[in-house]
Amino acid sequence: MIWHLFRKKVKSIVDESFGESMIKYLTILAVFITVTTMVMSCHSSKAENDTKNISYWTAPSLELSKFESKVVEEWNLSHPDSRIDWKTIPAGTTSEEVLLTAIATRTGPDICSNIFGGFAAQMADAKVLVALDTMPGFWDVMEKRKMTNIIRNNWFYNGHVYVVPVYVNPEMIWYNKKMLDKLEVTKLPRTYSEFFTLLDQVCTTQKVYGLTVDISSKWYKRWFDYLTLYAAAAAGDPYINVKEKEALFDNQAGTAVTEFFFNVFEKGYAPRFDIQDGFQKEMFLASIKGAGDITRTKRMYPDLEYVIAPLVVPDYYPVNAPVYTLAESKGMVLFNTSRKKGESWDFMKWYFSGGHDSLWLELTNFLPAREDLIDNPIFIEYFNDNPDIKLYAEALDFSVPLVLTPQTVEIQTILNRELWQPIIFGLKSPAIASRDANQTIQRILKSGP
Amino acid sequence: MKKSKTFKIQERRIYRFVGCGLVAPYIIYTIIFWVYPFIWGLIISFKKWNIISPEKEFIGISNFLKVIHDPLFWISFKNTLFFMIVYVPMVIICSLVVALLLRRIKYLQAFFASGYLMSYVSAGVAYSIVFNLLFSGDGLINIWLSNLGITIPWFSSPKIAMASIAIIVVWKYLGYYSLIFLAGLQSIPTSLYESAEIDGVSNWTQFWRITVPLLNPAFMIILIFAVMLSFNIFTEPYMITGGGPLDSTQTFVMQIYHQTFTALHAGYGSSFAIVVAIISFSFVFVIRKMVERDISY
Repeated sequence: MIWHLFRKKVKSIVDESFGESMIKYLTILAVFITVTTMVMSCHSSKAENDTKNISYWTAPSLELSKFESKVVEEWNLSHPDSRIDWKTIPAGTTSEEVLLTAIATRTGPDICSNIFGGFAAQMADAKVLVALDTMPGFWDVMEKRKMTNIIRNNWFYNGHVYVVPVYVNPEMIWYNKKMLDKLEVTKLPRTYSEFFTLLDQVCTTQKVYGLTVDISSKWYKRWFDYLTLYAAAAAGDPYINVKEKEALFDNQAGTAVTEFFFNVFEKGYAPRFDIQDGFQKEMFLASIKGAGDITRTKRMYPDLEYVIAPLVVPDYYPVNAPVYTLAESKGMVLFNTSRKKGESWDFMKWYFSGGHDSLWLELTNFLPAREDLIDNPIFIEYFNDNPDIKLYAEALDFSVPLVLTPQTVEIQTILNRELWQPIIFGLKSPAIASRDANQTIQRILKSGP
Repeated sequence: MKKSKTFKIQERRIYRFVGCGLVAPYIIYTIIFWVYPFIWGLIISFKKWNIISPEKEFIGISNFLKVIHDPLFWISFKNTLFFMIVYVPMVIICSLVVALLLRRIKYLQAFFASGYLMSYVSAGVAYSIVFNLLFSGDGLINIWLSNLGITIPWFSSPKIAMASIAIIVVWKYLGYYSLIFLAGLQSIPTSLYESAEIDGVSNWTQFWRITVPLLNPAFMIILIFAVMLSFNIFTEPYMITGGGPLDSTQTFVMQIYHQTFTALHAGYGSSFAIVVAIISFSFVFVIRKMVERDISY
């Protein structure tokens, strides 16, 4: 009845405006356009990657681009038949979102760099990635770059390797040297208690904050604070048991880290608002930072003096045990949609042959993902010139990567909601926050992606 | 006689052809950018799909049930209502005041009016970054306020973060809404004010008895725009607070975006969008029923 009235009303308006047969023309036009649009959107998938060259996307970073342009130029000169079309991942909020859109619209590249493990797992589940360990000569290349153990221990997902790590970025603690010197501190803290004692001394005498902590609820920010200290407190054990689909945030390590951050805010060692570059502006004693921060800090704050030390651990942590850390890592993937898988894999093999890593270090200051950084003579000169970065390279033996799960975003979003934000504002006790986060994450792990 | 009838038929055909040609661009645009995505969104809201995979599993109304039971849906709803309560009165009062001031300007009125429009044409991401720097803990505004012994946690306090976002959005739309009010004010016949003057009616009474009732169409348009915007707000909270602190600036569109493009739950994101659209249209419908009046003197 309503539909009939509506139709009658529309018809009368159209008739009044243009004539009786107008509705017929418009209907035909509308159907034609809808069908054409749908057919074209389906058909366009056939045109994907129908170009002559291999398409290769990398991180939109100035330092990385300097390296990539040189390497691609070298490849193109020596391989004129399988040239690389290189570009940085187009501008967007995150590389992942841009890449997703490109994949969905079938305008993505053959090879892409700057992929973190969790995103690779998501794409592997969607069957858009090539299992690289099935490509000819995979293990030879891994051996050549001295990364066989790295791959075997950390980069298998559903029985295959979908992403090869290019670089690693472990986290350590930076202390302001001037502030330490004022208090004549000679021994840096190892445990939470020692750390809080130092913070107490510095904060009361020098009127600065203790530790920079990002209060934002962006999911990826938890890599650089909570999950980093978790890796240290758990002696490198993962925060998720992927096989058993089990969350491990309310164990001894998880609760200790939650309590640590609860106390940082409760005792006023960190403000409940953001301060841009607070450590570099000498408003904080300490900050958790990666090797990647060194270059920027040197460029922007050349006068800043700091000391780099291992992360702090809970008081229960064994005295002589090594201190672990979390190392964010980005890698390279090959897409299933590529029509030049063979040639693309040839490029990847050449890229990872190990011959470019000293140039990589020199131009980017990011640590290549390999096991022989300290021992290999090709890096000695670089590390002699860059002792700060050498400290990070030495920490690689006790660095663990992020857990390889396609539910990374969901897990860290829940971590923010159930644990991080309530802890910052003192709304939950550390035990309850750890328990809530664990239960909710456990539930989504069981329900699957 | 017959010839003239044939000519008339031909003339009508030409008119129809021209009519078709004139509306065709809009119809093509609507179909490609509105109808097609809407139908597509409706279809995938009944499916489990992660955007990149070709597999789309039909799951009935599960996504819609999940939306209703999602605590973030209700948090976003509460935040939207809070935003609306702060934003709608603030933007209406401020833009009406600006419009009344603009009406009094005799020279360069267009210059000032277009000056207010600058904020409307500014890029959302750009001004969000600027406001973030201005209002941050160690930003310019707090540095200035610290001279008075005050520091306001504009974006870091869960109690006022959404209100701070509302202030920024008011700044953006002030000029645009003022122009709508200005057009409404200019359409009120001056004879009404003149006769009121003769009758000795005060300015205040003139404002409430003549200006406000006759501005009803402008009020209506702005109210609807402002309410719709409250449901669509995204750039400012996304860029400045990311939905925090404590989810106090989470909005519907942020959730739709997060679910679809970050968590890769495109089906769920679509059903979320459909539920939000229904709520937003219901609000507009109720507001129109309550506020819209046909007033003439």
